[in-house]
Amino acid sequence: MRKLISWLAFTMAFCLILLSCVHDEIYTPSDPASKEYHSKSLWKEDATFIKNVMKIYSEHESAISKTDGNPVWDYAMSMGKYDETFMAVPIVKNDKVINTLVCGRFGKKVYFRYENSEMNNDFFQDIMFGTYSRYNTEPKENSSVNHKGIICTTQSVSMWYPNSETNPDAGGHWETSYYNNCYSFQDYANPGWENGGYDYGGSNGGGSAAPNNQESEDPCQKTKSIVTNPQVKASIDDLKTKSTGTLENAYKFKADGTPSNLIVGNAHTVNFGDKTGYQGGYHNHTTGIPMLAPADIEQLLQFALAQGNYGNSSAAYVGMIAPNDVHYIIQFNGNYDDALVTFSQEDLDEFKRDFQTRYGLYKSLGKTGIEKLFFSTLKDMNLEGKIILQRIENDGKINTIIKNNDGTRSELPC
Amino acid sequence: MKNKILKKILIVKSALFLTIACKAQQIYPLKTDYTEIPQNSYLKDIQNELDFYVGKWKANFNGNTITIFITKEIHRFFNGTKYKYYKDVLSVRYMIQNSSNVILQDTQSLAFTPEQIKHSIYSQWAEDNGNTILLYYGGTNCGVGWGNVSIKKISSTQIAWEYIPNTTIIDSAKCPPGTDTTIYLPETKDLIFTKQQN
Repeated sequence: MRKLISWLAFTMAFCLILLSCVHDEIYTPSDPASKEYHSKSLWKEDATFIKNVMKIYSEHESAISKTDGNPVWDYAMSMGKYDETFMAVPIVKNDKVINTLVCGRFGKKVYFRYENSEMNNDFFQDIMFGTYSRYNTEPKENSSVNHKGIICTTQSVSMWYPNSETNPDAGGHWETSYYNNCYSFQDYANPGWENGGYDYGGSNGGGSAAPNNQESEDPCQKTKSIVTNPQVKASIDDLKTKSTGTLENAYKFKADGTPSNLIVGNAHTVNFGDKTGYQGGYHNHTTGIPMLAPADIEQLLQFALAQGNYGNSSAAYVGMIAPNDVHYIIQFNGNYDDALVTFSQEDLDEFKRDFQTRYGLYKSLGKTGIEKLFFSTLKDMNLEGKIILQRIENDGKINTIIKNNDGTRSELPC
Repeated sequence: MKNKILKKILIVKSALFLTIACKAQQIYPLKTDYTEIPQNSYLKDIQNELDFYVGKWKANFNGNTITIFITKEIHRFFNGTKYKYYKDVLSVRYMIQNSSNVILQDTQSLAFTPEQIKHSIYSQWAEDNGNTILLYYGGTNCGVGWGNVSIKKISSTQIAWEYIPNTTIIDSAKCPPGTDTTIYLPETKDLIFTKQQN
């Protein structure tokens, strides 16, 4: 009996020591000054890429660093990617995560940017400094290419916060922290970003067919080329002046930007007519909801079909100009077969009723609300992921609007 | 023994009650996003905000006489393809006559199919402490003119009307040339309707 008690006491003491070791492993942040990399992430990381990025960062720190804090490399995460393309590292000052720095590789070059995201700061803050006693890494939905030319990376972890540190099983609660990053290829191709273009000499430095290299499908570049085409721009400017009028108007455009004649509609209707030979079209709204409506989305499908079975369906687009400088464009993000969807008048009537109802509920949220409205409608029309939405500011800046996995939306500046 | 039987009865009764309670229809206020709630829920006029508007109302606009007939439908079933729900609504039918009393459009005499949206006007919810009712107009032929209507209490016999139509891109395949897509409803703000006695 005495032997058994001693054995139990020994086992308990051993477990306690083991537990405290694990505890230390989770909570102790690394010394920012340390140049060695020993991952303390809760996931398996792309150590090769992180180490290479650390080296590049140390060589160009004065040019890259834009904050007072230090990157804590031991908590760098590649968010489920292992092809030397992406990582995020927390920037810490006085035990607080003040920003996150991400690095993406595009071919033989790497580019850096600060995320300025409170949600992502909190994600690292909770992992590094949270007083949790255990955690559960959620199934990852990372590295999903939601839209053409855009990568969204998400990561989440649930952590148990006990009421008492000395007795973690006595009670407490779970909290989940999320990391979310969406970026378009154009983000990194554009040297105007925070910092970039450093040579990468990693194992993939030869420039493989990494998923980050799809600039030819970049929706930002596509829209830029449409709205800066002098002929298209002149037509859009004309519609802007007409959006304060009383009649609906429209233009169709060929691939080279050649516009159709102005299509003059009635008070609240306009008809694009035959779309053969045209890549896309623009119309104005004079009153009502300042967003592309279900019938506009259907028109985009028809422009996609008008490109022909062997043509480039994803070149199709429909734009909308509304009062108060509202300007949206949608691009088709699918193939010919994806566009072979038909809606009856009754289907459209129902979509429109739900569209108007949601508008009444969401409009107080401003542009966030009307963009949410658009994505809800796309879902109802079973066209999620097949259409890209972009908002064009009055100064010409383009934002790609993304629906995140958690239902929120993000905007990515081009 | 008696206690045991009583206990069993209690358990069976509780189970029955729970089953019934679980199957009970969920009730929500009128201003609820029916696309985000369980199917077949009920959006109820809990505050009785709709009753005031029931009746026949008349206004004149641009030489036309507009008569609207408002009825209240309790627990109306909206059997949509995506969203199914019950709702207390105001249903608005209308008749528009020109200065020569020629009827330009009359939905009062039309027979609607249960899920018809064309020509229909149903209330959504109340705003402004119940003093304004928002409604949805499904549009005329080809859905043209779909949009938002609001009616606001002015006095016990007067309401103010506003109608904001949305744009429709029409397509000849669905809307053959020659179809009458004229919007006859008055597109204006603060149009006063006066209650009629019959």
